[in-house]
Amino acid sequence: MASDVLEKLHDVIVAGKRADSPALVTQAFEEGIDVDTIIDTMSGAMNVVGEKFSAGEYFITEMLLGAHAFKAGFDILKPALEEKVKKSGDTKKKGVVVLGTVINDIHDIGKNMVGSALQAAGYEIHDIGIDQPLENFITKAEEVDANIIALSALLTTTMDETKNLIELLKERGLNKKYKVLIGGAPMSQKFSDSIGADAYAIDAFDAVEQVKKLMETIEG
Amino acid sequence: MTPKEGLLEAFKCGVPERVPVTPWFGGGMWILQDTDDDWQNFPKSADKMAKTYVSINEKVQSDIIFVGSGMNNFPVAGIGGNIKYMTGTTPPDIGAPFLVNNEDDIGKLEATLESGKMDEDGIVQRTREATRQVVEKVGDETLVCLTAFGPFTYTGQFMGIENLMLNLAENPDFVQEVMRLATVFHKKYYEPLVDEGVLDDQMVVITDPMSAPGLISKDNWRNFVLPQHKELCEYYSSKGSYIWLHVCADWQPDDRWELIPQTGADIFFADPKFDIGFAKENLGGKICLGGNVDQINILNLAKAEEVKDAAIHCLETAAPGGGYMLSAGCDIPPTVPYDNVKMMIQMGKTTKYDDDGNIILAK
Repeated sequence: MASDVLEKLHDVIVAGKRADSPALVTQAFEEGIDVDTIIDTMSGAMNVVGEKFSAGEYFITEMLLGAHAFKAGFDILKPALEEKVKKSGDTKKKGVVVLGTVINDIHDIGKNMVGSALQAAGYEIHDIGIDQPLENFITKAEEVDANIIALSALLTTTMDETKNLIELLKERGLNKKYKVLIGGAPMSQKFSDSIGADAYAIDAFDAVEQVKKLMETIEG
Repeated sequence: MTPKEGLLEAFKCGVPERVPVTPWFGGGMWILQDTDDDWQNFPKSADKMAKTYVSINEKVQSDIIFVGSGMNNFPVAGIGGNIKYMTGTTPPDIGAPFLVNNEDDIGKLEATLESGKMDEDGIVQRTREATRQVVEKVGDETLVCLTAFGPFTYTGQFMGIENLMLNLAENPDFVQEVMRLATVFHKKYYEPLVDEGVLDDQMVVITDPMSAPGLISKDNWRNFVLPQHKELCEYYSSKGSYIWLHVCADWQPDDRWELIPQTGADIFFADPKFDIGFAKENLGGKICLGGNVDQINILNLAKAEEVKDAAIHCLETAAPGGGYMLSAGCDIPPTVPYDNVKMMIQMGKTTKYDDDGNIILAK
């Protein structure tokens, strides 16, 4: 009889039972389930979390719990994923995103959730943390050969840093190389348009959609 | 009728002579920009703080002066919170390490609150003193308040926001206990001013951005936030102060509207993301409403004529029948042009009421 371990894994992520997901990932491995199937199950669960958030059924608490449950399972899965990539020789990445909160801003929940949602969607994330000077975003983007720089700003006094990054990229002739995604409570599509950002995300799951669209334009 | 009398009439959901107005909620960052000062230097002198608030209000003519705007994190620093200063006009913030990491830290926080440590803090002392001076100078004609966060946001500052959010689900009793202490903390911040009578017929602020809809559920709001807001409002009302309540973000029509008047606050200050018409229809007559010209897309990014149009929309929607104050939807960025601030004030000050409570917009 087939085990219901994947169903259970899906449900504990949706329910945000972060203590339970690592054991279920381990169990799935032991039962011989391949890494792609496990990650698809976990990503599917995060999609459900996102849908529930969009529907107003889930809030930050539930999203955070789901993201923690995902991450706890993903940490178990990560070595196997890396091994698989190494063996297959398929190094093509779905997309590489440098993520951080701008300088003078130490808010990190929104940024962390964007990171979890993008990771669940299969993107390679480089989170440089909070209170980050613009230079650090560019340095990291150059280092990891990023496609997208995603900036979070939660304050009306820090949101203009997003504009400053776009200007800095232009000054250095890097504006064609990196797409810029912005998000954070005081921002809006209107603000995004006014500063010439490539995309604005209203929440973590919208960020996944925006990154997907940006990657389509990059891959053309 | 003085500006203050007009505002107090609006708080009773009554009809003043004209629409009360303030261009911001707080204005601390904008004021700092105007003074060319910074957050480390500004609170070093109570006299300078008081003079700044009074002189800028002589220029701006807001019906409320918000002493301490942008400084809501300082009281937490006053009891040992880890404050981080930023550059420019960005207010300092509280970061890790936090005061309460687990249930074992609750006793320590309680002891700190009882010890009077906050009262020994220089910035807290000077902010209270600036409030005394502003009330003394202009408090008869202009409503004066000392600003503060609400208990849910202070709980986030005590234990870290992510820790708070996770424990809401995983250890609700722990959160309730820290919330109880956050309410004690709020009262202790205001206590000397309340006891001296400085805030008689003036105002106390509960702004609780971390309890915004979208961040926590209606059930959590009802179970965690509402009881503490109620307790604070009952306490301050019993002491003769008015209460300003603000919770940011998007209040959906099917959300928690009915809980707002249950807090007992005198005015609810509405974020630009909410429908002021829906608010008027559902809360009008139950609680005075303030708001909600968009502080980013209109006040910061648009021209004065667009500010005027946005103000007219708010006035026509929410002002008829009284119980309304024209204002921005949240605190304004320091980059808002003075012409836009001036336009907001002009729109309120020139919009009169007739005997039936209809508004008469200036031509």
